[in-house]
Amino acid sequence: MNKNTSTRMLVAVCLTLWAAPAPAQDEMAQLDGLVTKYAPAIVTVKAVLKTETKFGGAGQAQESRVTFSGVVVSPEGLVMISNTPFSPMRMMEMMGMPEEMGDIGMKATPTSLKVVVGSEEKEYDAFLAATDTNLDLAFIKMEGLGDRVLPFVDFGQGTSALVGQEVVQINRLGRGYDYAPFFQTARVNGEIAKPRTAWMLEGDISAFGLPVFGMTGDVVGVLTTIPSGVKEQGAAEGMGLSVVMRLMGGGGSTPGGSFVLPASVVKAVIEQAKVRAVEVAAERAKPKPKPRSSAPAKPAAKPKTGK
Amino acid sequence: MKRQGKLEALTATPTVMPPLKGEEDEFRTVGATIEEITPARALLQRLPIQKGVRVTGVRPGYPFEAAQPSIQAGDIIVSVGGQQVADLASLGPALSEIQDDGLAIVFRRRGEIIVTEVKPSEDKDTDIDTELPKPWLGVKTQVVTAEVARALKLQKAGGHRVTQVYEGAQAAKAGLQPGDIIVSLNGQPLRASRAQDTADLTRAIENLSLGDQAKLGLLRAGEPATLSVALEPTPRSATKAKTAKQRELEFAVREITPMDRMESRRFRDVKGLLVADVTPGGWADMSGLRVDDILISVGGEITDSIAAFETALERAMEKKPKTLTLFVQRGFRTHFVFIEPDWAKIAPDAAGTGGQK
Repeated sequence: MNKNTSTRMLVAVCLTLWAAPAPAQDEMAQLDGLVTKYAPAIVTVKAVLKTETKFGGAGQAQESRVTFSGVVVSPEGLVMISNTPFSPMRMMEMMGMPEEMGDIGMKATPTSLKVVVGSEEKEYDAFLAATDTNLDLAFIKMEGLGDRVLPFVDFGQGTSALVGQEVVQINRLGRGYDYAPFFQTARVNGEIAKPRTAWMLEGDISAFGLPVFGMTGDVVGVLTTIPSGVKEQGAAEGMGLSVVMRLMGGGGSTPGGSFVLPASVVKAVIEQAKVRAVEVAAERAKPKPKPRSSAPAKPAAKPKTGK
Repeated sequence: MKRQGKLEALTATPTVMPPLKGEEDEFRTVGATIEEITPARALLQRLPIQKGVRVTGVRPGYPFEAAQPSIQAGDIIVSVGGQQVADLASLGPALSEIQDDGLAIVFRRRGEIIVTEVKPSEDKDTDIDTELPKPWLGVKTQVVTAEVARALKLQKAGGHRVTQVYEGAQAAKAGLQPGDIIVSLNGQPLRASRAQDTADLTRAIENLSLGDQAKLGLLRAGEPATLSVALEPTPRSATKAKTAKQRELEFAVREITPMDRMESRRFRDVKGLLVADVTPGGWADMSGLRVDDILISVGGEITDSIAAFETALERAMEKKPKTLTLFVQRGFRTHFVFIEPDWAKIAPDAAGTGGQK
């Protein structure tokens, strides 16, 4: 190694050191820009779920409140969310419950749905408009928007992900933190072709039903659950654990059953959901023919049917 | 008795112990159970009042719980819409004043006196099927793996062997038969040859559109053949079936879906509804109605649809017969189930009691 070479190397090292902060600055600006651009389309969904469980003949119903994030996918207020809250069986499947548990009937139906836009005080009423249990996605339609046009994420502008690529998800904190938006990042660490084409992630992205973006702001897809559908010995256990860890907020580098569904697939289902939302709205508008057996007609109070 | 060395006489007159638990009622429109405060309760819990009504439970998503701030179990209601309420008799009418623009309620929570506004909630318990329809072939298949090919004495592995054709499905109408091996779809060869390829055919079908024709290339008894199947939507499964709850008699029924009929012979030709839920300890349960019974008629009226069921029950509610007869099919047998409800308790509107005791 002559003097010239070592000088050149020194210069190169210095240049590298000097240049290093620059991409970081770029990345910060990029991420900040992504949050600013997409956070307005990320909304908070407040639901009351009625979970009905059946063991053999005995049934049990329970009502509980849940809050999660969703993404506006049409300016008229169609919001995409994960179907997991409405599908307890999928949750059990994901957690690797044994097949014999299949006899237990579990059903979760939302009895109340409200949507909070940004950190606004108003809670918009919404109804369940469409579900796709295969893709584990659900769509709710906001009501009472009037002329208001909502910012939305356009899945028609999606791009494919490349293995190794950095991706971002935008989410929101709860009411106690005034619904502050934040981002989480991960890296595409694999691609699957079966049971359908999707990408695996390694990193912190963990919110089902929310879009996943590339660093330049392109829509890559949505994080959802894809069970393999193939029973493998031992695999169920590992998958269950990774999902539990995910639920506990550990992030987890094991992909479990969660994958990024390509934007093109999501786009097609959004188009179907738009049509179904109109149909469901029309069905809901019909007067209920017989209030009797579904709800008491008038009494504000009823004595307990003590037996 | 002796007190501090002195003899003293005391007279005690026993009386009936005042009840601790007051009258309790359910107010479904606001989603709360509320009880009257008894003097004994007031004394025991050192409540600042002698008389009043206290919330014992709230239902999530219903007006009391949805209010901002929300009313919780333990809260004592002071006034409703400006009217003081001290007992259940005055609370019922006051709560029935609830309008779309809200009803002001003042309640006491420990030392605080809080004001809130309660808004009515509509009954959102709808049974609209939201599942997006997907194309369906109407068959069950297995992958022709190398092992299966050897067992069938086939020259090579590959394709989906039909193991079941659903009766009444388009595939059956098109003439698809168990044993047929599907080797291509719309001219595209299906190369499934491993167990994990099972879903390939379903996925390929799902990617087509409803109403399209699926042109299937087959191997039937070793000979190539082609068939065209019109794609229909996946039939509704049990979890998506329309249901009706009968709150007064405490049971629920659901319609028998096309999928039920295709999957089980038991449902094939039966006209009726499937009993989906029977509340333990309820009227229906005590009368011997069981989950999985097929309900054929109620009070002599055929219940072959949810609408027919609702009409039959509506009529029964009006007539209030001493015995309401349900005709059900259980296994191979038919049974009569006789419900003898206390109509005065479950449908009190007749005597104009306003729901109060």
